[in-house]
Amino acid sequence: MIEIKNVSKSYTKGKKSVDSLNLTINNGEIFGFLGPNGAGKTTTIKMITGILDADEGEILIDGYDIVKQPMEAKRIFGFVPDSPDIFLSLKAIEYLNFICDIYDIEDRENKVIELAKKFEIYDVLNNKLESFSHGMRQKVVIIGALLHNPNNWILDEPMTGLDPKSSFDLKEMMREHADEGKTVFFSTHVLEVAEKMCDRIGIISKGKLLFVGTVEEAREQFAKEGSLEKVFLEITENA
Amino acid sequence: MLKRILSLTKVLIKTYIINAFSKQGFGKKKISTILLMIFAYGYLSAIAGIFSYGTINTLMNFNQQTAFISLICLINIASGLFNTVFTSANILYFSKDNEHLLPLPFQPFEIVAGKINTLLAYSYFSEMFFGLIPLIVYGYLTKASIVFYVFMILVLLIIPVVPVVLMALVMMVVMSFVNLSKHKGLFQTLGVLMVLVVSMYISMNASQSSSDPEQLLALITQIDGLAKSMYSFFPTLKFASEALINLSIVSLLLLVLISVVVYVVMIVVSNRLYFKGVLGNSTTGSYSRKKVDKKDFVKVSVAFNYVLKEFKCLIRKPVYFTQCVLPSLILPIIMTFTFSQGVGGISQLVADSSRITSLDAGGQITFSVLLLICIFMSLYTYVSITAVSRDGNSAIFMKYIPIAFYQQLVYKCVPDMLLTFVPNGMLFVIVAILIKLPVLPTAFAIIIFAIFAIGRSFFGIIIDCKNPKHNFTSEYQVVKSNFSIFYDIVYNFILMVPSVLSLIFLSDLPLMVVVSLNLLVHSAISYGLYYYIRKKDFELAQKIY
Repeated sequence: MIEIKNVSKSYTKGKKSVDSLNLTINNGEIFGFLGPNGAGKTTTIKMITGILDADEGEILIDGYDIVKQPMEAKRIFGFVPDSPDIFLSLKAIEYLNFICDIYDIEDRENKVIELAKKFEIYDVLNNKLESFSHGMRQKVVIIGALLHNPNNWILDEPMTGLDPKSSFDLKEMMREHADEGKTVFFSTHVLEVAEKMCDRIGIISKGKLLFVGTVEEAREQFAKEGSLEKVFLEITENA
Repeated sequence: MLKRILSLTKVLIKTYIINAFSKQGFGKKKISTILLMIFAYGYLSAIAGIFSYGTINTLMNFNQQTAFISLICLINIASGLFNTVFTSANILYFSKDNEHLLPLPFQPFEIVAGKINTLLAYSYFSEMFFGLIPLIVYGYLTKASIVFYVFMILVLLIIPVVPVVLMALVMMVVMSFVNLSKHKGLFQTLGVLMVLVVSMYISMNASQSSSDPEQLLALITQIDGLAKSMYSFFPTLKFASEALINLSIVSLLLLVLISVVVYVVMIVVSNRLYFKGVLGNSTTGSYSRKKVDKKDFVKVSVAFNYVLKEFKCLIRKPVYFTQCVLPSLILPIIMTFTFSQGVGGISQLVADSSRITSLDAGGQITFSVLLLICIFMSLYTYVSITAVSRDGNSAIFMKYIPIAFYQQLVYKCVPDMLLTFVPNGMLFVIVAILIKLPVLPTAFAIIIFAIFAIGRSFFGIIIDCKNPKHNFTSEYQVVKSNFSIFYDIVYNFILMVPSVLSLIFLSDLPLMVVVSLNLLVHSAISYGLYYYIRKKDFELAQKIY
């Protein structure tokens, strides 16, 4: 469970990138975080994961405060950043084994092999990440985030660069994870994905959370006959 | 064509040089950083001016002041040559911006010309201290006419062209072959080493011919002789010197002509070679299908794996290895070579050193000198000062994994601590072969240096955290356009003070007292810096996101 309470963040004086954000992502739920470019999605995700500090408010992950109890909080989420260009000089297997050491993962061999086979990169694990395409790097980072089986998945644009099969598999895994009573929080620009997968969505624009609820609730509230795309445009353009 | 080259040059210079410095600063303390930069440049200019003033005055007493012109031209050509060994590889081949430039409709020579012009801009930067100021002092002292100053500006603009272009050409030839290898990273590093050896060979040959004792009895003739012996390798040196000494328009025109010819040759050659090398550099090639096995999953401590990761990321990336580690590795070789070229050569140096160590019965002087040398040798290891910046986008990784930030900073410092020992180790081996060093003072110097190295690494990473350059457009900027390096150098010089004071004021005291005082100072500083990292890690992490 992720609780965001009255969180604000400014990069420059007088202009809030995230403004008094209140949001709760419940256990057993896939939550899609939507918004135009520069709306505050990545800033919010960076505050949830402890990369950025909020100017105001607090963020709890399974009850642990990311600022006051950072080690406890960081152990219970898996994070996929918006760029998969991480430690490109390392081989994929070196990166994953490093992750295993950080999270003290038991039975690491089976877990790595299982996920690597699922994402179809098992055969190339012995290669440096710099030789991989964007999508393959993304797969390695996703595997690294899931290895310690965290309760909370926090994914920033996770589908970017993935091939159709891997994208499908990841979506399946997200559903299974939520069905086990755990949390999935992800940002996306692909409205069809949000529409099909998310139990609830949040739409943010210019740092303000404009809507939280199910896709059906959004349709009822904003554009009864339209697609999520129309709803999204109506909400963000009128912000 | 010319318009496109100029446009690209403008963008590259802005990216590599101007932006790199204008983004510097510690938030609200940006003004103090700018003041510090002005102080640094003023300080270096003052040193260059004072050195020139003293040297020219001395030379004027012997009516040999024109030798100073040869010396300045020689220094600027040598500086252009050595700087370009490292920078040409990094700017032409290992730079991240190649990925953006290659798909654009540029001819190979247009990209190379743009990048060579950037390298020239770097040379002009160092010419401000090594060329402009000394020659202005020369003009002032010799009451030169306005024509001299016009020639001076033209010569300074033209003189770096040949060394910069030649080194870039050698680099292009080497890189067009090394990228054919499967282990590109390793071969690229070896390629840079090879070019370095070639450039050192040229310099050695040149100065060996000038160290003939019959030819060079005095320092003045040595300078002039060294410069003249370089004429065969760099004819521009001759014409530059003659243009300034005799205010010869013919020499100036020949200097321009040779530089233009070399530049044109570079354009022709780069059209054939550059894409071959740089495309090989960017293509991924086929994947190794070597299966993972049990040993790939061995569990080790987080600390060990973290340090190992740091080493791998540092050494496997040629742009980082050649900039952060390699200079310190070649320093012992250059030092040994330089000393061997001094008056009397290496045998005289050995005799002098042996006499000093035999007179220094207590070992205090030996201890202080060795410690000073060790601290000086660590000047060229830029591992800790760039540890966070080198990570680039990966730096945020430190913020979301469940390892305390201060612990990660300590792990990141370990390679720097260990690598500062490599050049010292090399020098100690060379010295131990030549001179019988007393065991106790040597051992104490190594121990105190180890404590210094720990503190230096902590200092470096603190500075890097306060002013990280992880949002770079080219990896090259992490070292070359990083003003933080200056803080690292200042730290080394300040920490040399206890050893210098020991040498001047404490040489009558027993060795143990001198060692204890040094131990106290270095331990207190190193522990203080560790304490700062431990207590202020939250603040240190603020600029990494």
